[in-house]
Amino acid sequence: MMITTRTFLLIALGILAILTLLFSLLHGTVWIRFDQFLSILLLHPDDPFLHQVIFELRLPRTLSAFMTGGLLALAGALMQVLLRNPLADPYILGISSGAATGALFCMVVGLGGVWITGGAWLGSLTAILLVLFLSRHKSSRSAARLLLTGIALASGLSALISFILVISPDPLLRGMVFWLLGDLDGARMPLVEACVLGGGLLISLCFANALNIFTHGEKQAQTLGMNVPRFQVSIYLLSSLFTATAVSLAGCIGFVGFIVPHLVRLMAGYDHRYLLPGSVLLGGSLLTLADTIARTLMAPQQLPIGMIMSLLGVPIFLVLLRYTHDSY
Amino acid sequence: MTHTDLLNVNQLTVQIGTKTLCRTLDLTIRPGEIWGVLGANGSGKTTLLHTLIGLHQPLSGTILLNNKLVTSLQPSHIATQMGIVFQENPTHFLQTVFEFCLTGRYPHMGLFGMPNSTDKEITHQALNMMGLADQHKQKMHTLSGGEKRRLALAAVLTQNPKIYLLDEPTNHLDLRYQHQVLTHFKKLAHENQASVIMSLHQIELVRQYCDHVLLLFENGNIKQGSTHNLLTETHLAKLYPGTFA
Repeated sequence: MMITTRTFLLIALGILAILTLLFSLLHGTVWIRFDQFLSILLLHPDDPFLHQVIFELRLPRTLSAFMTGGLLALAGALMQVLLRNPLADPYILGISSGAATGALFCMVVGLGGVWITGGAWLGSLTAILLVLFLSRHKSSRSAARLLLTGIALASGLSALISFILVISPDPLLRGMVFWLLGDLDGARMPLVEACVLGGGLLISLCFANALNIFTHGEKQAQTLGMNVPRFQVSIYLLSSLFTATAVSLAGCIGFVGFIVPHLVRLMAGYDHRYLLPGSVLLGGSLLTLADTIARTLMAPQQLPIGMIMSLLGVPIFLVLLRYTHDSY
Repeated sequence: MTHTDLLNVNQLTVQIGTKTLCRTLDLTIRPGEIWGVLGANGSGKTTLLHTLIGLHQPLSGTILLNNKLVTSLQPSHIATQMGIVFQENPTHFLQTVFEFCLTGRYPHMGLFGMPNSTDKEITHQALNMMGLADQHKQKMHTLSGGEKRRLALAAVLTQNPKIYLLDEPTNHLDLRYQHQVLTHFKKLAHENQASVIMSLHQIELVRQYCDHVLLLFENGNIKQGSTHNLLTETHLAKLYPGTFA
């Protein structure tokens, strides 16, 4: 029975999430065995060295990776429905370009730390509001108009990003490029992001059936009783909030928001009651795994997470696409 | 308008671009009536149905649903009163037949739109009526064109509105299902006092199943009346130039 299969899939993804989180906490320059981890956790909570490695160094980064992956996957799942376009991802409407412009501007004028996060937030918020304002036409906002406005704005902001990179002094460039590719170095405990992800998932689940209806088209949704303009703005603001939160936390990590909803859809079908939590769990797991590989494969040198994410995700996606569905 | 009128259209003028599709239409739909909308391709049958349900803004005129302006009603309220089957078949391939059909229950579901056992039971009944009970677990992309058409009709049956707007409901259907489907809607009209407004191209089906017809001529002129009086060769010749000469 389909319901059982989907529930089973969610349980499996939950177990995968726990395993990848554990793997990320134990794996690194210093290897920690599982029994050592349990011992630290239960018997010797004040072992200073391992305690520091696990709880101060790895836990914030591991959780940040998971939150970022979950937020981007959730935003991607919503955006693909909102734009009714399988190619949509959280960055397609220029939110990440806005965040990048804000963050890079802060870097180039010599501001660091919390200013970069704040700049990213401000940049993404500006992009969100601009798209929302410019895509409105005669009190309605079609998916095509929203998409075209977002893409145009993203292109304009990309030009601005290029300009900032061109005029930036060499010592700043490496940090800027790493931020653009996605960077979790120096991550802090993502408490705000966890609240956004948890609360956001719950709110999104309230829209699950409406999302299912909206996949049939705007006209169909309206004749079934949906207030389409209000729904579009709600979903747009939700996915934008998730994207802006993720980008502010970890920079522009590509691909996870595009591929993960497709992966879950291929395994569990389109029902958003399963698709949304499934995307959060798989997105979080994949990005946690990608980050673990990124920081350990060529240690002490760190690799861009986005690159590892794509290397991990593409083969999985292609195999699933090849063998699971004949309806794509 | 009397208290029994379901839908009352006053002086409605509908345009697409600069083309006037219907001019100053006055129309009253009462419970239990079946209306056939006839006209050549491009005469505005689909646009008129879309206008009645609020998907297209008319140039002028008013549409009253149960004595209330359609434009003043929430989409959720309109959806409990009017349901539409679009001309195109549904194309959401990743859903099962049952899942798609269940979407018709959306206007009747609670705050978060979660289906209960009654919704599921009604959906099973609708699939059964449209001859799709055995395929309820199938994915939509495995259905034929005719089966998808019956699925769209089953979905509007689960919606259970008072007025059914059916845009070419017999598209893709074989002869047996054309009659089976229209017989079912006729039964709904007579037994449940539902109203049906459907655009059709088959004159014989209109004669057989519709009590009233609305003829849309190419210049935006309209004629309406009983099927018996209006479906004459003269009118049909005007409606489809060169065909009934």
